[in-house]
Amino acid sequence: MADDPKVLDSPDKIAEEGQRLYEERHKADLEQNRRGEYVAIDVLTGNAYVARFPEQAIEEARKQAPNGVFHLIRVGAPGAFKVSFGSRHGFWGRSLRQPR
Amino acid sequence: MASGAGHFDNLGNPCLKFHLCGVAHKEPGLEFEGIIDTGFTGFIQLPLQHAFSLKLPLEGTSSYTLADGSQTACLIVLAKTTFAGKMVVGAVSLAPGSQDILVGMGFLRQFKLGMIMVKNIVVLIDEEELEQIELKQKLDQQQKADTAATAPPATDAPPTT
Repeated sequence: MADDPKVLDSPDKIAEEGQRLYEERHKADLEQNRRGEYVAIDVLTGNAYVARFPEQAIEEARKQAPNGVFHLIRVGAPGAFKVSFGSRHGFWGRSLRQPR
Repeated sequence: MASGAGHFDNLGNPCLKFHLCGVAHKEPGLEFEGIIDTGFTGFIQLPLQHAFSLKLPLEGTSSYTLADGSQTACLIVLAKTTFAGKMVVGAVSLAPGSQDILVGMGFLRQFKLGMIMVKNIVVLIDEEELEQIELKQKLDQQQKADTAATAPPATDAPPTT
């Protein structure tokens, strides 16, 4: 059971599921029309909530789906945010994926 | 107006103090000091342990691109954040295994702040104040131009008798 990739029992699994849903259902449309905006993907339903800023996307997602679990992505960018300083320290050195 | 002052820590990092509020405390919540990191595009990065004391409600995860181009993910929360008397709701990243509190460009954007660092001072100026300074400069220039236009023309010719 613990090895089932559908069991969203860690941040990495939620992120991977969110990324998968984004790429399968929303990427083509959003990257054409909403590049640079933020999208919160509900990993339980696959629904996407798009807004100009990250906090707006999450707020809208929570309003529409009170029980949702969201993964935040920036449309057309490899990550929602960029980090520089923290990458030298602990957690940020642990990468989920290698550079594309 | 949310202008405020920051400072440099003993390692020379520009820092500022702000309050974060979860459901455990009354507003404005607990005070934190974060390093201003202009290479971080997010709002605030907070070590995971603080989420417990603040009782921050989890929203999900977010993806991050690290300096080497690789990607990672961490938990994200929405938290009421107060700086210089102004409160906004921002997306705070919870970083396990990190002890650094980072203040990113998203913080400056949401609080509408411009930053000036000179010698040992960090000044955070409200965009509205900057706009007012710019407007005042334009008005001063206009006034000078009007005065010059209405003044009698200077002449080098000697007075006639």
